[in-house]
Amino acid sequence: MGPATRAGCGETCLNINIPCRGCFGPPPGVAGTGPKYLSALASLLRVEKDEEIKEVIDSIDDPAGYFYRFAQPSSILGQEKAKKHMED
Amino acid sequence: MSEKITINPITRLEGHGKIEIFLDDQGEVKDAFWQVVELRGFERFCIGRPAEEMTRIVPNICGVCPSAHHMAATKALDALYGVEPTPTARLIRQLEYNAFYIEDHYIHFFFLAAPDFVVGPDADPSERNILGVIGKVGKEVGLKVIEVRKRNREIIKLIFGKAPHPEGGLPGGVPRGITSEERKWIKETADYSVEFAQFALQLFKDVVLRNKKYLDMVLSEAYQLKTYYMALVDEDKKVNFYDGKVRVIDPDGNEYALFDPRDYIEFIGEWVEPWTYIKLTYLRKIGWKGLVEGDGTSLYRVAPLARLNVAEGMATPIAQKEYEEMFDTLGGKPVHNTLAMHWARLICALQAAEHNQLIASDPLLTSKDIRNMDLKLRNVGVGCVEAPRGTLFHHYETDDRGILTKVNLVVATQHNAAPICLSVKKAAQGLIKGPKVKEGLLNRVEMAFRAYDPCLSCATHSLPGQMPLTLTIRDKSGAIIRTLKRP
Repeated sequence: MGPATRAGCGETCLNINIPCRGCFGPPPGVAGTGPKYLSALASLLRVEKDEEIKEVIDSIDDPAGYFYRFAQPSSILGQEKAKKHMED
Repeated sequence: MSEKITINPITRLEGHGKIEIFLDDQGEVKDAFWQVVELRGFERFCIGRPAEEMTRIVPNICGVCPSAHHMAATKALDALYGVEPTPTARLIRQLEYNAFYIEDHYIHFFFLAAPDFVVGPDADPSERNILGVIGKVGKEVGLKVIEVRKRNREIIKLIFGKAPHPEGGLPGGVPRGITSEERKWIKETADYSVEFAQFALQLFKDVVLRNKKYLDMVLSEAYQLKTYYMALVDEDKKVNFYDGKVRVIDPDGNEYALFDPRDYIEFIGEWVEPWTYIKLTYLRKIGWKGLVEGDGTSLYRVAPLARLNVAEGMATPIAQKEYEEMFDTLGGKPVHNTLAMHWARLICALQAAEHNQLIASDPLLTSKDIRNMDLKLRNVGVGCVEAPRGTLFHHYETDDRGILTKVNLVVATQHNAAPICLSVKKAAQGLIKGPKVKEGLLNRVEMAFRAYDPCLSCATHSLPGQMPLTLTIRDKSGAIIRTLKRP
């Protein structure tokens, strides 16, 4: 979750070979970890067609669960407060 | 029913609960309930999560025994993915688990239980705490307690990232190995822990057993309960915390059952009562007989005393000697004296420390073969460990993508919940006469549940279907215009 979460944990999980899951929440200025993480992933993909994109997405079980694992309650999806957050 | 005494909140336990004592017209205790008033929801909200996440979700069930849930989840994943951990991974897991046992048992003995014995059951409540204990036994002892817990937590941190909440449980192994450098300080920590365990046992003997008043209390009828007992045992039927078969003995000490943990549902039934959020367990084949002890009961107890009652001995030599001394002193097996759990707890901590000495010297410990990657999703997995508070089962079912469709947790305090109610009632009946009760006596009633080291945060993981709820609708000025109640 490197591009989409705060540091400060001392890389606790990475030190024992466990992937980062972003438990420290989004970094300052990021309203939602989900889109940030998706865009980080998307920039790594080499796909041309819509079907190929769908194939990639289908390979992720429970994307909302992964990308919003610790940040769903403050997600910008359908929330008024996100607007204020963006304005700030 | 003329009078009701409520102890709320009850203290020095994990989680929230209360005790209600009902007196009859003569002021005698008619009934007593140990109620669990909090609710979690792990069995529901884990559904839909990927199974491999469980080793990171379930430790957060509690701040005291996260390692127990973590290990039960890890073993459930082994079963779910049909994979055996490598011998080195087994060693590393047990190393961490023993370290956890040591720090966990001492948090209970020194922080939660010792105030009743070292400071005294009737002492001023403001003194009846860990600071009061340190005031009595001296700062050096206090520092030793902190030191032994800190050093063992370093082992948890080394292997699974952080303490108290570990992060790295994987099916088939462990996330990192142990280096020869690390082996050195692990060995030192194990040696220190064995020394400390013997010191703690001596302290218990000096403070509790040599004090006739306390010994009489331990042996008194008010703190006795005749039930079945359940615990994990190894192939030689010795105490094992990490693995083995579940053994159950009857109130007279005869073997009632010996089963593989994956068959737990054949042996353990769960019962719902309207006055508590905890699901009470009983021996399914006997059937629910209500809150009764003795020959007609279907209730069983778990936790340290149960482990020693159930097993035919300890797995390590010094702990074995202590085990023999305990049963000699208390008049042979099985011991039904609830307060003897404190003694048994210290003997379990000693076995954990001794076992870690053995692991620290095992040549396999530093092997790099730490993970078996031969994973085959089986859709069902049951993991079982002996948590410090007793036998813990995690049962997961998934779809073909490994997403959870069913989660069932049967935790230590659930097994003990009905017996705790009975213990509290017996203590209340033995100690309370009339409605004017001194605070110290109420604390003695609390001691009856405290011996079990109950963890209510863990035990209230299920939704009974409906929450009791009061909804109050107020107008602008705050006046109530309507109240809706769901019982």
